[in-house]
Amino acid sequence: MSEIVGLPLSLVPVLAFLAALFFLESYRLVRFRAVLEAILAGALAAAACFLLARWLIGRGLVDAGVYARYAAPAIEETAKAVFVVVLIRREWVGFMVDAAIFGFAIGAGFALVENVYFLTAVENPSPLLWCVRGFGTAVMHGGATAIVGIVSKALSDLRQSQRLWVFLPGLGLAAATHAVFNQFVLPPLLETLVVMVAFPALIAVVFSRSEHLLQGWLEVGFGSDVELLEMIKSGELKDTKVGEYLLSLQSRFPREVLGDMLSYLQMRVELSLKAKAILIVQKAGMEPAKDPEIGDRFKELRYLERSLGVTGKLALSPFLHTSTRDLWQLHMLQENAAA
Amino acid sequence: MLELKLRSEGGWSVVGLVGRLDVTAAPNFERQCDEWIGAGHTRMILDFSRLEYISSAGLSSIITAAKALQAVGGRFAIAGLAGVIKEVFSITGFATLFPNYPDVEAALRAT
Repeated sequence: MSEIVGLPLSLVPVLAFLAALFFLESYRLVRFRAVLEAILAGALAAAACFLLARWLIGRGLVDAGVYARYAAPAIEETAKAVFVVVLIRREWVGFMVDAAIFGFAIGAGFALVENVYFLTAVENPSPLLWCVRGFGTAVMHGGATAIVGIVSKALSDLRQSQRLWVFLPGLGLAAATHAVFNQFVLPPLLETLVVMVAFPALIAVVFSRSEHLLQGWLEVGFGSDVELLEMIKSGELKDTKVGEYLLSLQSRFPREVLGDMLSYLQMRVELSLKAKAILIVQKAGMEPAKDPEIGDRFKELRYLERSLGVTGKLALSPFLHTSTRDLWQLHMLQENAAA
Repeated sequence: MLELKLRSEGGWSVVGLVGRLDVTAAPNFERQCDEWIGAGHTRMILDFSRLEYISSAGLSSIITAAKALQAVGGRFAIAGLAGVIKEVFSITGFATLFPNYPDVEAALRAT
């Protein structure tokens, strides 16, 4: 009987919250498959933490109560943050809002495994326990990893860096939030209520800020892409800034590499415009048209990258946008084509 | 700065866009289209032949206008794409999202 009540109470709230985040995000930055992968990553993190806790407590290296209050928050948040680090470092996250969705999905995966374990391990648990675990602990797990994602992405954008240090403040904040929750300073039901109020408030701020940033980036980026495209396709390239610059490189690069530089610039600007158009169409609630040639375009892009080498790409940096967001949009375009 | 010129031709409302459809002009364009649709202009051709610049906000506003027409069972087409704006429409796939004709006359003949 307790499983019949406990299972939905402990699993549904966090999944419902995740579904709300996924569907409320109007640009559809995160694909459904990617959310499932994040849930799986969270579940694996939970399994790893469970094995580590059993080993530490079983060997008498740490007391179970001490572990739960002090060690578990740091260990569990670190384990969940691993996938966030991978996503941000691989340029698979564009904005704070998708970082929040990925983070919450990882935390949800973690909470699902943890709650299923509790369901089998605790004898005769009360519905109150499942309420606290479902609405409180599970949402706290999602929220804490979302904090890692949000803070890390914000710092990564601010510093244009993906070095490990940019993940530490978010991780510290998440571990601190988790540790405070585990101290049960407040009565469990009140603590659950605090989580249920604080997290949506944080997400609302992130959604609004992210939407504003995204619109600004779209407008500015689209404008500079169009300007560059106009120069490349003007028919009188040598009279443009790009043409003058490429001519100035004549003594340093072979002629065919200079040709590839121009092709590379054109390919990048075209792919960039395609990616931004997908966001515009998705924001309008429409399905973007499939481009059957997109795979070939990326194949060509990789070929040109090899031809240019690191030096050639560096030489193009005055005209090439290489911010984390500019690289993310290429990933988003590939994902969209593969879907 | 964007100037909008509405004229009726062959049972269609032809909207000429002159200037720049950017983040400043887009809200006004959407509002004006809404007013026209409300006033019964439900068969609309957007004439881009004198448009000098379009941004992401401009593209969004075109989708909004097309959806508003769709919602009232109207019809929508674009005409006169040229130069870099034609390139932008072609690269972004917007040229295939809506019926697209070389000029207004061709659009009127085809529709």
